[in-house]
Amino acid sequence: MSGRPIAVLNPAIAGTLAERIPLVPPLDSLDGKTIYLIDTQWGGAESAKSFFEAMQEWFAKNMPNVKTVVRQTKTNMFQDDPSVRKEMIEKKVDAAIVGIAG
Amino acid sequence: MECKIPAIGVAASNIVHYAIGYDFQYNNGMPIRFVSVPFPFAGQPMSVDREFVAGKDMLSGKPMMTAVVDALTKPLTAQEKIEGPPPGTAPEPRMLLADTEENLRRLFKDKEWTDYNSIILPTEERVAEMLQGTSHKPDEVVKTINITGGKRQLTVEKVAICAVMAGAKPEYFPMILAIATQAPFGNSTTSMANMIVANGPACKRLGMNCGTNAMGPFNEANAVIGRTFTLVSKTGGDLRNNVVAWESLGSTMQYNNVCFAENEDELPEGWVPLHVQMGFKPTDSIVSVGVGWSYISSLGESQQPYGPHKLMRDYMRALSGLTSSATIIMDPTVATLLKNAYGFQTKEQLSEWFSQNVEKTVDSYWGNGVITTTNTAFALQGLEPYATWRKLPGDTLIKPFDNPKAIHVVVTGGKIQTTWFVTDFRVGRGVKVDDWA
Repeated sequence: MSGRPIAVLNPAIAGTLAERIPLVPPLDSLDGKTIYLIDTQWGGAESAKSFFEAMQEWFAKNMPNVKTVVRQTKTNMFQDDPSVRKEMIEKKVDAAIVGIAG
Repeated sequence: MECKIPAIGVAASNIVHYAIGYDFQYNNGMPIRFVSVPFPFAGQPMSVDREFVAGKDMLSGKPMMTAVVDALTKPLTAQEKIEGPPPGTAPEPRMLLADTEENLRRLFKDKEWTDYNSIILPTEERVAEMLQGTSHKPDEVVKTINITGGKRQLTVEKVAICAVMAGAKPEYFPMILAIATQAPFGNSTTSMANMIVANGPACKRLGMNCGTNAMGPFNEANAVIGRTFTLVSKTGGDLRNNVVAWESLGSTMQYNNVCFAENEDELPEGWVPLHVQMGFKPTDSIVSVGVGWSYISSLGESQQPYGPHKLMRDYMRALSGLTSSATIIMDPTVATLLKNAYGFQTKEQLSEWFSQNVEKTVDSYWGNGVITTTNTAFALQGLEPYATWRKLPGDTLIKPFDNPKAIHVVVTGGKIQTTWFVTDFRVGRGVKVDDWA
């Protein structure tokens, strides 16, 4: 194999970084707040349901002043379900926990 | 319609680092706060889910619910407040720094630009020669690849670089460019793969094999054209192992993407080539790229009275039925047998028979994770037949291949044995090779 330097073309393609979107400011505390636990059906309708129910149990026992509501989207994990967002706006929901991706 | 409320994500440990890293950087731009649970989580009993909730967040190491409360209440960091266009990304230089062949080979491997088989280094002369195979300009964008973010502009020259690396001849280049419009290859956590079917006069012109060993490593054009799709996919899609490429097992089919030509000369009368079924002229040269996972081979001679179509049906029961898709690849002898001995006058009649006769239980259908993940939503929206199938008892037999047009039949092979493959590949609309000449 020759040790002479050779020049070759670069197969790599530069990626474009995404435009940055800041986070919404968090809550001061969860006391008295309503949190939606949103199941995006990643892995199917039963996949995350019981996890969110277990989380709901934890809130009921440990932070009873927090109201939690489990909602399952009617779309699959790659699609948006505007009806859930509409409901959250109408009901003035304070925060959301979304998942489970995997 | 935006809620503008604090929200956090829950992701399993198999994917959370992609979510907070590459996906954030190249795709969504929002530094979402995540907590993470062990993988697998799907199908776990409530007792395990309670353990997950009572256990630790896989990201921070804190108790899970402490991490949840913190993520919803801790003040934003400076990084989390950044808004607007990102700082410009340094473009990749067109030429790499000159180096010895040995060092460059190591660099190409280290960067994951190869399939770890030997490559031909893409010197300017070799790439220029490859570009002679097309009238398209080197800077023309063949496709913007954004499968995992990044909006990478796959140009004619970048495809030519990969074609040189794979060992292609300039005359292959129009077909390679047509295939590159479908890049990158499947990339999932499951073993997704691709299939490339070539039809029309270009197949003979390029010396593609549609005879004996059409599906094996016995032909330069089949091998190299298929391999180029791998290199284009890896470089153009930035598909690096455990960074963006996530298949748990992977697939050996990704080495050359099941690239072969249909044996149009040996089709029984009445059976038309795949591209003609799609509406193209017989004289058009077409490549059709499919996406799938499963590839099951027959064994031994076809038997009476249990004809090959019945065994194919049995094997098809093992497929998911996702989008009703299947591609059956058969030797010309099988096609002739199916026509003459079993009365299938056209490919369409055979596809219709499969649609009517492949059955599986409801439990088996919904037991497939990809089916459940994608089609449960359709069922919840009331879309038939999924809504009905979701309500049926588990042992009820259903016909999951409800769209015969999604069941493709392709004939190839050397008439040495009555063999065939049943696959779940979903073949997309063909692309004209001559559009890239």
